[in-house]
Amino acid sequence: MPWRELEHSADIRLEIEAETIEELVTESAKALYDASEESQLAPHLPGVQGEISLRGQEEDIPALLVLWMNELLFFLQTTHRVFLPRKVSINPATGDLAVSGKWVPSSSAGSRVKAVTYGGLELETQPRLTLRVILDV
Amino acid sequence: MDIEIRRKDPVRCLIPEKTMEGMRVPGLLYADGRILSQVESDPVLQQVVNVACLPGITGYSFAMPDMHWGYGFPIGGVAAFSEKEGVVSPGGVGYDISCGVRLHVCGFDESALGPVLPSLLDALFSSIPSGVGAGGMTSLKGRMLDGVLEGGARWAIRNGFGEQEDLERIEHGGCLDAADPEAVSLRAKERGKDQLGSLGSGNHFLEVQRVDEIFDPFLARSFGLEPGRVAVMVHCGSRGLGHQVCDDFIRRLSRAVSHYGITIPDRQLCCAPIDSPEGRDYLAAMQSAANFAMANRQVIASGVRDVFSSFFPGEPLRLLYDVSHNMAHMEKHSYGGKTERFCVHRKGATKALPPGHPELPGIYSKTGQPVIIPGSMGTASYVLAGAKGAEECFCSTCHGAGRVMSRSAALKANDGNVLAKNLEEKGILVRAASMRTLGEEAPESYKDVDLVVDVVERAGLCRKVARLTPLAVVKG
Repeated sequence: MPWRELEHSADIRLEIEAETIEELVTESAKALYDASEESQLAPHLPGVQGEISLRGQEEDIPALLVLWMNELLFFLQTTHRVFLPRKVSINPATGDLAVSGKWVPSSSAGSRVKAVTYGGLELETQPRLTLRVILDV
Repeated sequence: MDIEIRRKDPVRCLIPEKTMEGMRVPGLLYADGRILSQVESDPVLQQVVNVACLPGITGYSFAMPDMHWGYGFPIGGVAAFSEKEGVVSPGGVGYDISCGVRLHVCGFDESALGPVLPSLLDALFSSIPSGVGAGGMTSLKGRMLDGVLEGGARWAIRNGFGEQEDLERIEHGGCLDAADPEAVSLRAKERGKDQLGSLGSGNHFLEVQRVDEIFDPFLARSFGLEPGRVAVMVHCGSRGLGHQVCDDFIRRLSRAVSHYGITIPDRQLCCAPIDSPEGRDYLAAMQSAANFAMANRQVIASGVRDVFSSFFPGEPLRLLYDVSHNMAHMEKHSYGGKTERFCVHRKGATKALPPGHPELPGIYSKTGQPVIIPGSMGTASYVLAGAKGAEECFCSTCHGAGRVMSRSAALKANDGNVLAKNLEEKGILVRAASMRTLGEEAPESYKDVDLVVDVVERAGLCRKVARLTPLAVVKG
């Protein structure tokens, strides 16, 4: 898995790695679901095609990734659905993110993750894209 | 960055103002040597420094002895901002807005529980929703949610959840009048509409306890606490609604900082002037979420009372007090020779009003405010009373034990099932929605609450009244 949990005394601090920003969007979704103890992540699962679109709401990539993860969390908590990304389109200049993929029913009753935070948010670009983010549980 | 810590007295340490460029006040840590040794290498100290950089901060950037790493502001942090030049920050309140604790005291002793305790615990576990994704005891349709956001615990009592006399035993009479449901997003309402009357997960709990030790007989009598007496503690907050309000306003206020020319060392410290559109909207939404939290605890307590009355008919479950420990309030304080209004942020810190304080309800005007300090399963909880010395930190004190061990480390060290068995051998029954959460919340994940309480008493912030130990725990 291209993500791992780092030490944090109260919550979950994740380090997520990827080669491209598009891959980072996909991996951050998987990492969030994994932290939420969600197991419905197999790509062959039947589901409903859909798209999540976030347009110009954040001015930098780390904040856009937090917004993306919080978007997934909102749907997980309120509709009990998991979104499996298939194609990611991102424009860092405008802060637009569009992700097409598949909605599948959640395997869990809810999410132990309550929020994706901006605290200690970091994005390194060398040698690989590495996002560090803290999840409130 | 190396952070210099100067010991001021046995329970106070200073972080000098020159530690980092941009600091407007020093940091003040309430810590003895044992507490300090647990946080010396923790990012919490940098967070104390960062908060000291915010506009309008007055006195110190305070950290209580239960301090630990939070988001932006430290958990255990207290910061007061002048009404004229200061700011309000969602990060200074936290995600679980108005997370708090209440204590109900029974009219009978532990001996009366006898063999019914396991059945009582089972009944509480099945009646009070807990754990990840748990729906509440009541579903709010249409405008009902706005009624909760406006009315707080008053709404709950109007709708049959509790007794009128409860209200004077809840901070602010159970309702913050400046709340405005219009300031709360539809997303936040969507997350909250099915959660009223639920504990949630994480460190939230419901405990049946016994009064184990009395430290101040006069105050204990005034609070109705006697050795052996059974009590019930509830710890929870505003659930998903509060989290969404915090997230909404962190995003909005992140954009506001550049508009107002505010420099912040951490995005989670985003803020806006108190008297700005963003600041006013946040205060209105945050107070709405706090009303939801107070209503939530009131509804849960009503469920607890129903369960107890089926086992002990006619026995009241009197509310001692309900306090929040994640809030920001506009308060009048005398500080540095001047009396002004401040926006006092307490994130993982509790208000602690001393005897005679004008905000106190009549029943506690002579004793000082009851302060409820929850421990962790298997360790004690405390009832304290606000003392004069708390004026030094805008009438504040600690909120609990404070974590010292990561969740993953706690989980490696503790299997939830084994932990439950070990606690049972110590005479503490546990019912948990998640064995994983139980392992993560093992008692050794937290500082020693006895040490934490010892520091706030030695610092003069509070007086110890009573110590309570758990008999049975419902864990989210």
